[in-house]
Amino acid sequence: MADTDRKDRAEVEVPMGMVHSALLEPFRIRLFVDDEVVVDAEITYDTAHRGIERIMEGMPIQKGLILTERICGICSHIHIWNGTRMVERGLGIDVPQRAHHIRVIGNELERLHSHLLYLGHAFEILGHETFSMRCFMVREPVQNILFVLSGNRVHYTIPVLGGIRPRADISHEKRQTMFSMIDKLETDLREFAARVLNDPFIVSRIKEIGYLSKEDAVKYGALGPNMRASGIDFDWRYKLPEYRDHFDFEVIVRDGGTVLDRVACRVFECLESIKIIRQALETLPDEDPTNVDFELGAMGYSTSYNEAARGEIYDSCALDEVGRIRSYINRTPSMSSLSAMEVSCIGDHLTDASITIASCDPCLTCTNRMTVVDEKKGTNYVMEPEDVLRLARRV
Amino acid sequence: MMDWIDFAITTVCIPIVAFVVSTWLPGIMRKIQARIQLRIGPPVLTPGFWAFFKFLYKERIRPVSPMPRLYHSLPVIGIFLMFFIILLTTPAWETVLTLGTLVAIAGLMKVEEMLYLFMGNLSKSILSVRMPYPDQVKGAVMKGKVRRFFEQVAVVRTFKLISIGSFPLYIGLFVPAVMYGSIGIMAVASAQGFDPATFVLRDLFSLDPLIFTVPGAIGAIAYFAGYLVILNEYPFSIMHTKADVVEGPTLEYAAWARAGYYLMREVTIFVMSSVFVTLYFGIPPMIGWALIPHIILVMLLPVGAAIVSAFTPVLTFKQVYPLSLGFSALGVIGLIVAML
Repeated sequence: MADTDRKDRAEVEVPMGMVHSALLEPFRIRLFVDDEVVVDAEITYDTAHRGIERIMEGMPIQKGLILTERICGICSHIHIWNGTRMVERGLGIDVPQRAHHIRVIGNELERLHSHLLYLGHAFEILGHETFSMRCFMVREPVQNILFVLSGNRVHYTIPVLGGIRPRADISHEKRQTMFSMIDKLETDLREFAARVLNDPFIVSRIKEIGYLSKEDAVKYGALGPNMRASGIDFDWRYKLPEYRDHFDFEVIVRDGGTVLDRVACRVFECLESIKIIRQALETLPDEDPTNVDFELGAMGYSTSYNEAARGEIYDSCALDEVGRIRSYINRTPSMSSLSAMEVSCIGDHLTDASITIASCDPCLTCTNRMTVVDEKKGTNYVMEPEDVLRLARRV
Repeated sequence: MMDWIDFAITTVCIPIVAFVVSTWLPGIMRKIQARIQLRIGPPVLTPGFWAFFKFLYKERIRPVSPMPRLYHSLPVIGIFLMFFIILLTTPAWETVLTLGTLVAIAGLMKVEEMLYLFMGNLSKSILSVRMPYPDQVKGAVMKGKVRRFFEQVAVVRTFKLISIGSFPLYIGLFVPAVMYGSIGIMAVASAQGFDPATFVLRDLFSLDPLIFTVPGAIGAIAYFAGYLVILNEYPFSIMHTKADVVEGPTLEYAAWARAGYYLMREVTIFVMSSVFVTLYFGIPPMIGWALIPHIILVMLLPVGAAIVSAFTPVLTFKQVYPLSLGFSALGVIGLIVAML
C-alpha cells in the first residue's frame, strides 16, 4: 500500500505530551495510527522559552558568554566555547594552543557524558532498567573527570576570551589522575558497549525501526550523529583547526539510518572521544594557556560553528564599541533533528515511535518558544520575548 | 461436621495468609532487581506492605471516569477472584464444594484478565486527549477522526495479550491434567503423592513432583512465560509501558483505589505462583504443615520473574507474538509428551 494511502487511512490520533513520562523534554507528539502502526506524526515544541537571546541584548560579552553556558545543563561547555570562539574570531584574538587542547578535552568529555546520558535514557524508554542504571554507572566517572578538570560536574565554565580559566588548567598531577581515570572509563565503556550491541533483546527492539534515509536526513536537516547514522559523512570537528590539525580520530558513519544505527553511532563516538582526550593530554603544549593581550571593542557580525554532542551548533552576534552584545543568535541542533523524526517514526509501532523520537537526542531547553493557551477565553498565542520580559517585570 | 469446620477455617485463614505473604513479594522482587542493578533497593516491606497502607490513607480523589464507582470496584473484584482461585485449590474446599478444577481456574483467570479491559475503558486521564493544547487550531495536521486515550490504546493491547500473550499459561495449566488424566486439582496433587489427611513435613521427600518429569519441566517453562504475561511484568508489560501509555488502564487509580490495585497485583503474584506449586510440586495450600513448603516454593516464580525482568526491555507485539507462539508450541510439546 502506498504511503499516501496509509496516511489517508489514519483515523485514530494518539496525542502524547507536553507532560509525559517518556518525554524528559517538554514537547508534544501527535501520532496518527492505523491499528498501532504510525502512519503520520506531528511534533510540536515551544513551551519553555527562557528568552536568553533577548536577555543577552546589551549585556557585556563576558557576562553573556557565561549565560550561554546556562542554555543547557548537558551541553554547557560547547555553548560557552562556541560563543567565545565566535568573539575571538570576530576580534582576531589569538588563543594559545594549550587552551585549545583543554577546550577540546572539555568538549569531548561533554560528548561522552551526553552520549551516555542519551543511552541511559534510551534504555529507560526501552524499559531496560538494568542497562539504564549501568549506563549511568559508566557515566559517573566522566562527571568525576570533569570535576577534576574544572572543579564542577555540570557547568564547567572552562573557556574565557583568549584562553581558559586558570582553575581548568591541567597540572602534571591532574594529567596523571585524568589518564588513570580515562583508562578505567575506556575499559568499562568497551565492556558495556559490547554487551549492549550484542544483547538480542535490545537489538531486536531497536533494529529496523525509525528509519531515516539519507535523502530525508538532508531534506529535514538531521544533524550530528543522527545525520551520520544515515550515511552522511559530515562532522564540524573535521573542519575546525582546533581538531583537524592536531588529533587523529574517525568520524563514525553508518548507512542503516535506523535507531540501532543512531545508538551504535553514539557508542562508537564515545570511544573516539576517549581517543581524542588521550591525544590531547599526551600532546598538551607547555605554555601559558591564556592570552590577555587584546582589547574589547566594536565587532562586526561574527559567526562560529562547532560540533556539539547532538550536532551542529551555531552562534553569532555583533558587539558595540564598549563590548556589549548586539543581536545574539544561538541555534542548536535539536530543532532540525527533531523535525526529521516526524518522518523517521512513520511505520513504527506506537511504542517504537517513542524510542525513535528520543533517538535523535532532543534537547528542548535550547530551542523553545512559548505558546500560551487561555482555556477560559478559548484563545492561544505564541509568547514573544517582550511578553516574557513584561511578565518578568511584573514579578 | 469436621469438613465444614475445616472449610470455614480455610476460607478465613488462607486469604489472610495470601494477603500477608503477598505484601512481601513486590519488595523481594524489587530487591532482587536492585541487586542485579548493583543498587541497594528499597526495604523489603516498602513496595508491597507499606505502599498499600500509604495509599490507603491518602486523600481520596475522584477518578476521571464515566463510571467511577465501577472503576474503583474492579480491583476489589480482582482481589476476591484471586482469593477464590486459591481457595479452589485447597483440600478443604475440594471436600465440601468439589469445584477445584483446572477449568474453573482458567475461567476465573480469564475474568481477571478481562478486568483490565474494563479498567482501561473506564479511565480517561489528563495525560493524553484531555491535556489542554491547541492541537486542532488552523494549520495543524487534521487527520484523526478519533482521538484515543492512552488507556484505550492499552485496552487494545490487553485484548491482544488475552488472545495470544497468555496462551502459554493456559497450556501450562493443562499439562498436569493431561499427565494425570484429571482436571481435578486434588487429583493432580494426589497423583504426585500428596495426601492432605496424613501429610507431615518429612513426606515432602516422598512426593513425586511433576516438575521433575520431562512434560512437567516443559509445562513449567510455558506456565512461567504465561505468568509473566498475566502479571504484565517485563518483558511483557506493553499494556502499561512507560514509553507511551504510561500506566495504561490503571492510570486513574489513586489513594485507596491504588492501594486496592496494588493488593490485587500482589495477590495475583502470590496466587498464580501458588497454583503452580499445587500443580507442579503437588503441594496445595492448606492449614497445616503443607503450608510451610508451599509458601517457600511460592517464592520461586516471583524470584524468576524478577530476574527475567531485570534483563529484558519491554517487548512490542513484533516480539511478543513470536515469543508467545514459541512458548505455546513448547507447551503443546509438553502436552504431547504428557500424553505419551
